[in-house]
Amino acid sequence: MSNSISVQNLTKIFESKPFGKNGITALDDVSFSIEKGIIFGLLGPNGAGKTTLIKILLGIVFPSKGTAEILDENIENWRVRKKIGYLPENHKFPNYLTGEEVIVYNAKMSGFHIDKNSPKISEVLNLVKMEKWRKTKIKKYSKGMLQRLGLAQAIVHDPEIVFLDEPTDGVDPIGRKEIRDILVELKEKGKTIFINSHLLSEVELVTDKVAILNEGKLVKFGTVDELTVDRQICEIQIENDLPEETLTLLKQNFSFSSDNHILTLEIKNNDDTNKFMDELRKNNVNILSVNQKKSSLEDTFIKSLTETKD
Amino acid sequence: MKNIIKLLRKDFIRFIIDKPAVMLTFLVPAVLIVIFGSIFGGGKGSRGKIPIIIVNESGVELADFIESEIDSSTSLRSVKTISDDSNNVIDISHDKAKELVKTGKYPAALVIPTDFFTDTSSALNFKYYYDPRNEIESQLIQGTIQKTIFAKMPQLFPLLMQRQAESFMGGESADSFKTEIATMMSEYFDMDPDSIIESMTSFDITELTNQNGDDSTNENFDVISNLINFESQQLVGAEIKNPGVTRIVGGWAIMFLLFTLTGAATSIFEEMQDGTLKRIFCMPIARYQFIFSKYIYSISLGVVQLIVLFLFAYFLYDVDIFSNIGNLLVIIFASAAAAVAFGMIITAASKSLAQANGIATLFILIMSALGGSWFPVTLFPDWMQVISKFTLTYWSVEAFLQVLWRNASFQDLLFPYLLILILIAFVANLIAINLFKKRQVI
Repeated sequence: MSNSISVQNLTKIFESKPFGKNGITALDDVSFSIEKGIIFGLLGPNGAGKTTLIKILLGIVFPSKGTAEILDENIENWRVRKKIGYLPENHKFPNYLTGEEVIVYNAKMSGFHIDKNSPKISEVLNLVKMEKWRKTKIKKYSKGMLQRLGLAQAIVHDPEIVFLDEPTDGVDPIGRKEIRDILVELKEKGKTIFINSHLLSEVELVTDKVAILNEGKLVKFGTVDELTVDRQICEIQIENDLPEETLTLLKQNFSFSSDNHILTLEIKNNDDTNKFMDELRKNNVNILSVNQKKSSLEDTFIKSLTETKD
Repeated sequence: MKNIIKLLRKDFIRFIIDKPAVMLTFLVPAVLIVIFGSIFGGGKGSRGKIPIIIVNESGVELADFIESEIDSSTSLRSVKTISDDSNNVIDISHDKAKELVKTGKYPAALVIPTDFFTDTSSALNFKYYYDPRNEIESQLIQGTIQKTIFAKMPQLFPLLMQRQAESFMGGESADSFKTEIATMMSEYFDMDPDSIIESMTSFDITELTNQNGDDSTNENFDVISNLINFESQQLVGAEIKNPGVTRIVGGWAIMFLLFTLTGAATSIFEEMQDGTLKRIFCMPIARYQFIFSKYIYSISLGVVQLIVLFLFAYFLYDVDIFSNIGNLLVIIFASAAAAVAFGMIITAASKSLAQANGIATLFILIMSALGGSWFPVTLFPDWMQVISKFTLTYWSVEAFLQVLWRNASFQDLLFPYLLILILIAFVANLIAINLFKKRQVI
């Protein structure tokens, strides 16, 4: 599968003074690739370099070092941005425009020929449930409505990659669910979605791959499962309480705890799980289920940041 | 009280960290005070003398004396020679003087003609050619010349009156009149009648030139003025219906143009603040296209503003804009291009909208004052006149004057006015683009 986004050794240093040496490194040698047709989440605390990375990918700022490609084209080629949709954070469209005018203007600016009567406008406005407000000036829109309109203008020109900066910001829980459904629908159409959000639970629900940035460095990158599965802990559910002699025997060789028919095993070696289960079977303990413990994305996120600090 | 002190401290800190506000509060007024002070005599340095061509065709001593009096004037600078095409210094002739005034090289010429003062003259003859493109300057020149000449008139009064009487009565009657007066006076005062006649007819010109004239306004001026034949000829602008507005409209136009177009250029900051710029930059649009569109927009705005302003002057004040409309549009376009380039430099060099507005206001007011938008540049001290030539306002104001006042042709405008305005636009744009590149805006 070819990549939709690829960055190599991307570095961005903001000079504090002209020709000054004490620049601020916003991105430090970041490299990763995102394949086509997935939902990708970019995570990181404030000041981690997320916005800088998005700005570089969108051509808003230029990198100090390294390269970035979108759909196999260098980002310096501004024409590639025809294939990109973007919902900025806290966007402000001119408030004298109506909803449909915002859509038409942004579509035209993205190189998509469209007019007010184009069925494409109804299509995207229906998708974000804003069709009945299309003739209303956006100064009368609520924050949630503006966010939906922002999403509509980001996808109206049928882009291959959609960058969404805090897409559910200001949207109520039902609206957030609807936006998630739209993202999944776009993914099914083969679009790549790049989400930057602080709402980790939201990201966890829809993203396929996640990158965690901290202090300009890429500290974690992988699928949500890869990042949230804690390979050091295994939870084994058994039918009855462990006999005392079995418990004593196991304690001599394994590190585990027992609570209400759940044995939580700390894995030190790769074959610890198998050996532990063999011992259980040998002692006629009936095993109901075996699961690797899974932490939330938020836990993974915080753990990653703590590890970086240490 | 402590709370008030805390609040005061907060306000002062807010003011001090707002550099544009500090600049507008102190620097702009200080610079303007220096400029005004220099113009109206309060500043250091010599006030600039207004140039005037002096052509002395008369050989008489009195003409030389008046010429030297003008030479020593504190307000006027006598110009008597120019360099020809081969760089040879030549005397300015009567016709050349007229041509130089007509083409706007000099504001006025005083010709002391061959018939200035002959043995039979009953009045002094002067020829004065002028171009009142600048009202204050024109009045200053005329006032200074008249003052210089009239100050010496009381001494000439008896001689000229006598010659006028001779002219009126005829030579024989006048002689008979003088003889009878002399005879009568000799009887009463026991004097020689011939010496009385001699004193009535002789006039020693050296006596006049060795005396200091009375510089005060003399109530006899009306009488004396009849003894001076001051033949004035306005070589330029005589047909202009409203000279006052025609003179100033260009200066004010360029000042407001600068404000408008700098505002248009700095709107990039507003777009940056409201997120529009970010949205535009991530669209399939090259940075040069963005800057170019901003440039075209700003120039269009400037051109429309100036056209509306000149139409306003046309309908309200009869300023003739249509007799040279083609060249007026060319200068409008060139001025707008230069003003936009100026705005682009300010935008590229500034870090925020507030900073851009502060710097722009400072430069626009200084350029307007120095460039002749408010006062004729010729009133400035010499050093300030040199600086004024480095402002785009100066060249724009001069170009508008050439078009509206002198009805200049395209060739006349091309060099130097049009070329300099285009050069300013070109160089300023290069600087702005370089700054934009350095700041990675483009």
